Amino acid sequence: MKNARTKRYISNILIILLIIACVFMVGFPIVWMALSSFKPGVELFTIPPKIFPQNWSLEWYEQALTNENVIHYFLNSLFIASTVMIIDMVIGSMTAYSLTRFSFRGRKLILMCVLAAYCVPPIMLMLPMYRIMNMIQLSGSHAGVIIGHLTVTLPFSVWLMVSFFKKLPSGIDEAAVMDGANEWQVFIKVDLPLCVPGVLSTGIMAFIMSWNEFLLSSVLVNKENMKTLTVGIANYISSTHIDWGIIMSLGTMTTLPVIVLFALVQKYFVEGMTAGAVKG
Amino acid sequence: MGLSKNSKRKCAVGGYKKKHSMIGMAFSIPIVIFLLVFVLYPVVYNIWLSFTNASLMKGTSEFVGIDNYVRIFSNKLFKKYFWNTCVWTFWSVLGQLLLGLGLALLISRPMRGGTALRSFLLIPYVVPAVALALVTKWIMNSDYGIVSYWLQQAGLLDGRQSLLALQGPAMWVVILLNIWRSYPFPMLIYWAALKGIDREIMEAAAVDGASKWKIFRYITLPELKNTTIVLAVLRVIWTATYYDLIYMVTGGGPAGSTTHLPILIYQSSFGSFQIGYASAISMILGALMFICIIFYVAKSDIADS
Amino acid sequence: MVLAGVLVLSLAACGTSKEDVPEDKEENKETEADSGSYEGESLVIWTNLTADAQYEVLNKQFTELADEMGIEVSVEKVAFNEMYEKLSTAAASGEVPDIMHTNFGGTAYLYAAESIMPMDDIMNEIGAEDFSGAYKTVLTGSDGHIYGLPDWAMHTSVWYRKDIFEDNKIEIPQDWDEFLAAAEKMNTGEVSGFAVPLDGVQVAAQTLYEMMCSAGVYFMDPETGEYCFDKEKDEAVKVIEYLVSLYQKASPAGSLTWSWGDYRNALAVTGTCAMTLDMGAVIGNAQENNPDMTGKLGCFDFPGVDGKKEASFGSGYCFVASNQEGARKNLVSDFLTALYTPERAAERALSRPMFAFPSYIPSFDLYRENEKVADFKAEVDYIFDQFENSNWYWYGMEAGLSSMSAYIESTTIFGEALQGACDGTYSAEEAYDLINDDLAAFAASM
Repeated sequence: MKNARTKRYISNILIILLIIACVFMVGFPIVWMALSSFKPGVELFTIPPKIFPQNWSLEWYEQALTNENVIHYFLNSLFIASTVMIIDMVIGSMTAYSLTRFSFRGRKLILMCVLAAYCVPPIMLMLPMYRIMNMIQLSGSHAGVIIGHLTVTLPFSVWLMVSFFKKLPSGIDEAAVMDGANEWQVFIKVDLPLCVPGVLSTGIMAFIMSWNEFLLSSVLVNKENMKTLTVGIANYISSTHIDWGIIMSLGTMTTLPVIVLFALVQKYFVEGMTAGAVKG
Repeated sequence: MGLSKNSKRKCAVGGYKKKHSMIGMAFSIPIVIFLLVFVLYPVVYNIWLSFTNASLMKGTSEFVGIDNYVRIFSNKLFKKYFWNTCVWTFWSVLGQLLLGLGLALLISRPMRGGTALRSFLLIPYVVPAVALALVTKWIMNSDYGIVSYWLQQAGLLDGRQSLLALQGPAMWVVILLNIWRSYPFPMLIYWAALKGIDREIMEAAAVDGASKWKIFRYITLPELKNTTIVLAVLRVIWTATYYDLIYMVTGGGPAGSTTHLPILIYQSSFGSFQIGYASAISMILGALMFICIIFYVAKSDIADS
Repeated sequence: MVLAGVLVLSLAACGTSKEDVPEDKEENKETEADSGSYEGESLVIWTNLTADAQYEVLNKQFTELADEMGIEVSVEKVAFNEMYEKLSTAAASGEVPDIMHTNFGGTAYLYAAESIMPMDDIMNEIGAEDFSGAYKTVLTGSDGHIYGLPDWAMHTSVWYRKDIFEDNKIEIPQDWDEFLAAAEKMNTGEVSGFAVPLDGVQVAAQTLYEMMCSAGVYFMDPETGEYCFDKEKDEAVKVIEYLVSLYQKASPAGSLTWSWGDYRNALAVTGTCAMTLDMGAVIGNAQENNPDMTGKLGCFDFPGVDGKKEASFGSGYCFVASNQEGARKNLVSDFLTALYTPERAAERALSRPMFAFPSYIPSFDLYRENEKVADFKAEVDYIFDQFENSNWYWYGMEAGLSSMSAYIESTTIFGEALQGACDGTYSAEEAYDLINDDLAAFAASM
């Protein structure tokens, strides 16, 4: 039995080492970014590089936060991502309800179109999207960016939600109908509440995708006070120099809120995803 | 199949059924309109462009038939960029599925702090690609980047060299970054799937003297097959069309070694202003992705009622 | 009959409005800015200058003027690396800004897209003789009209560490062999002799072009304006070979993907390079991140192959305006005219981290008086002299405004070919062929 105990002991140590490796792997880029953002200008370029700032400095945060555009970037990202999240949840759950609880001609076609839309490379949408936005006078507005983000997130959201709605037992709708509920009431009062974890986790994913999106946001908006955080940061790489300090502080400020937010809602996300979203 | 069953039921419920499904269809109206305007129109527009020599500089546009497609396949650099796309997609997806599965096995072990570890491992999923890309450029700088410094000290890298300036390693860096960013999703899905596997079968097998490896190989893995197929399709499509990360880390360089099709489409549109040619490339990419989806639909029950 | 009547009426209307215009202008000129007439109008202005110091000066001047004129301005930053993406999406849908502050390449693009208007009138109003001639040539289209108001310009020189030169007892190199020898001599493990930055976005093309110019190899024939890079294969291959040998013998390996910020930091902040090609912004980097270095920097001209330098690479910024008519045109015209006071022109040039020279002659004195510039009197005199006396070209615009220039700036073929040549993927000749095939295809479609 002694042999088994040593084996167990060794495997435990291995697992602990593995965990440490994981923690380092995940943490390193983020921690490095955060530490660099506290280094004053001269320390950013020391050779060899030092891990910890020698003189902690808030100059980059000061510079970033006194720039009114940075506040705009932040609020814009928040507004756009929240709106995208809500629209995704509403349209996504409606579509999923329609596609899984009813049978009508064209149902498969709609589903196929949603899946096909997921295949469209975002880069392919760039120019046509810009034209459409100009046509309907939404160019440069938040609505334009929101629509752009919806084209990227909606197909995926519908896909996810379809798998959630499929899991609901089919009998419950009929029971509600027997009780005199109409289709809308069945949706709102019976099916949707049962899918809450799924709908929430889809919403969270949509929020994250929108918060992180760069390509379409960068084409659709030019005005300083309309830009999102991702676009704003990328613009700090200019032709004369790269403001690493400011970029690191902005990067930290972009990353931390989503990490914190995600930590808060993660319970629902994990619950939703493990309700068996993607099982095939 | 589904239709015939329904029609039987229809006889019983009569006209109600028809009205019922019409209302059901109405719930799909928003997505249909959205797809028509913001997806179908751009795609049709792209198909049209791919048969023209439209220029983004002069605004001229003439119908040229399949010229663009012919040009694509006769361009020797295209082969290289297409191969880059395959390398990038294959290793990114393989890497994130393997890492995801490995970490799912780790966090599915009952242990203290398991939930905390799981939460921690999910963090990369929310880190914006822009932030990750910029940090990478910073730590890989040949002069003052900390990772370059470590590698140089360890003798793995020449002095004042950066991984991002070497053709092979640059591709590995972007692939690893992509894996770093993407593994949490497969991890979570695998974790859920592992929880769903009947523990009794495993315990029975263990009692019969099956080794851990054998249990994994003959019980766990087959159970994960479907999950793996779905994940693979999802991630292949997402990875092959993903642009932001490579654009911001290497911009497709050095010497085109990390240029994949989305980068090539961008460069052809806004670098050479040949939007017709670029559209043809994006049609090819889109069509390949569509094949993946067909494969997925055939394999899964998503379209069944 | 009715039609004819309408025609006559509209003609008459045109006639009167045309007569009104000059009067309006006169008044405006006399009273500085007679704001009344433009009340409520608005202008959209784009600038490529995203660095805070430069953007703030521009934004300040624009807002000041807008207040004086009673109009609204909306200033939008368009980063350099996404300039062509923005310009082409805007041009494709006819949403070009009213005014843009951009480099020569951006101007060439907008000119080719027929999105900007001739500026001869506006330039005459400011005073055409107040602009130096070389800037005017580069902005003149094939139709003989000038399409941009030059704002400031830069000149490529070799910026070097005086102290390292002294330590190694090196004289200013006079030809290519001497230059390579000097770079090699200063090349130690820690400090490299010369940086050959080759980032795919514009930087690779700029590095190559300074060497091409000094050897007398051009993209477009300065005399005829025809594409000529295909006719100079032997010379061009030699230039590429020289660039490759500089990279391999004296440049840090990582410089293969260096962009402006990287090599400027190497010379002026970390002190890990003894020489680089630059347009002078290194000084700004030193002043900001490593003030001790500022006094150690100097500049000289990149030499010609056998000593005689043919030309050098110059660059600059200008104002362009989208096609406008009637009252809007007057508004744009007055707005731009008001930007050209000696103070404002000097302030804009000075907002660039050093060595952007105003192209508006009346602002020269103010520019030189600035204390930051006065510290570098020798260098400034030297570069001013180069500007006035020697040839300088901007790639693709050797014979005036040409869309080739925009193409050279935006294509990534230079990165592909030159990075590949330096790391051994391509021979110099293959690299030349890649570049030439790409440019020739574009030239054929011009």
